[in-house]
Amino acid sequence: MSDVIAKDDLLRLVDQWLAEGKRVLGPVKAGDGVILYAPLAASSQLVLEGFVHAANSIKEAVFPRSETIYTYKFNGHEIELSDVDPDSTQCIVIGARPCDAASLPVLDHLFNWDYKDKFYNARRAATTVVTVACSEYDDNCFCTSVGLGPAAEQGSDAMLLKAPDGWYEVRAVTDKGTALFNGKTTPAPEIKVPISDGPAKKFDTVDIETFLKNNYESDAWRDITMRCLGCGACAYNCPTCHCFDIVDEGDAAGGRRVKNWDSCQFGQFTVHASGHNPRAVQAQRQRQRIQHKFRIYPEKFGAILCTGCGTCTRNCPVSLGVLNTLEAIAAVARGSIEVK
Amino acid sequence: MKDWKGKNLIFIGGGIAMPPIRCAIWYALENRADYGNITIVYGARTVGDLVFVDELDQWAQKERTSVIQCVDPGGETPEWKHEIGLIPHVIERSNIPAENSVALVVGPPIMIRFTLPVLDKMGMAKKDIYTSLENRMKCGIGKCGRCNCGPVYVCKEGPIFSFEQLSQLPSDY
Repeated sequence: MSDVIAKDDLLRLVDQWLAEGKRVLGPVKAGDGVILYAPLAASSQLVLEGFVHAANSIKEAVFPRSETIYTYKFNGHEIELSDVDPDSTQCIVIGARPCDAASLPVLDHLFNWDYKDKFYNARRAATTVVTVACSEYDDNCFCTSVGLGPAAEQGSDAMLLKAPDGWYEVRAVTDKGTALFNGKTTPAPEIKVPISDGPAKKFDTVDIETFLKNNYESDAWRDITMRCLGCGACAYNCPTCHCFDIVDEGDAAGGRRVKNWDSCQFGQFTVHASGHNPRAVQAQRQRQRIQHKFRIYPEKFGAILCTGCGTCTRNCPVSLGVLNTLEAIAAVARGSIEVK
Repeated sequence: MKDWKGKNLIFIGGGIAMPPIRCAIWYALENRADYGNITIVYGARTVGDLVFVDELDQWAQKERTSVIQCVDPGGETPEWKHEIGLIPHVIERSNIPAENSVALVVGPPIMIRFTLPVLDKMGMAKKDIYTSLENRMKCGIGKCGRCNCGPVYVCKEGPIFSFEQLSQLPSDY
């Protein structure tokens, strides 16, 4: 038994969400024809098809690039601290790819081990994610290599599957998804959208993890990542990268403490007050990124910190990214590339 | 430090490490009867970089306590009467007894890296050598992603590690 919605009705529903004061985030065509996940002003901006993946990720819905965590005021010699309430505006993400949605349950581990991050959790609870199952891929897609696929449901509250004649099959995954489309769909027993196989599997994560365990000091890191510029485009656009900086912005009267996106690819990221830097060269920073995603995070939280979306490679000015790095690692592990 | 009762204590501090290690030295001296011999090794790049020097002289007067001061070669003044040399070298030639001892090493990573093997060579057990990692931190709650040494978040799972624990970790410090 399938439930379907006509595209026009879906767009009307998006406008209804906006009219209700909800924040709606979806793929839009930005300048230069680049597709970006961005807040919508009207459903007419929404682009659901005709592209493989947006140039960024949906993580801004739960982890904004800049967020005030408290404010402070100087009163003579006293300092007055004030809490900032977490933003719990209802947010609907529409048109995300399954690889974007899959990042959310992965990030839940980090923001809830030991200290529970109230800012992340408030946004996460207020966010409903509606994905569109993939029918198109490019050479950079590798979701099937990290245990996901074109209709993987992890992190989705509801999934849309493109049916013929301007219809979408709607599959509710969670109660939030069911509530969102309650009364908006039509039963259509005859429609059952087939799911494609997805991109071919490109590497085995067990092989990668074994290599990472045994080759921390390998010269392969230098050889493989030599061309990395350290720009951080991979990390900023990655749905799972979550490193942040904390800075105070203020003056003699007071100010605010702000959490900002950061990246392990930046040279200043780990530099000590003394000037010593444990990750002094780019190869060490790349090693950290790959180790974090495919060994440290799985060891610590039981989940790979990568959903195979390929956004890192699409944004990389030197065509590196996770996939190319891992394929090179796999080649070194097989012995088909010699480390100099 | 309660677990170290009955042991000889070796405190090794480099540069601006004296303020943090000083608290541990105070504790040992306040509970003097609980511990065996106390050796304090403190070095800095130059004589001018040494801090709390008055206290060093006072500590040297305490019972069963010896203080070794050093500066890097070239950092000495004409009046300097103590050791000249890098901390690992000074320890190597100082005949500090390793038996039944616990060492606490605080200082810059480069000093830690070269000092731990010297203590190991002296015959100390790796589990009895402790150090503090100085990895940069921002959040302190295991989220911001910069203080890790392999799978270990220094802010949550450290910053004090034994040489035994450190030997299991990558050298990201």
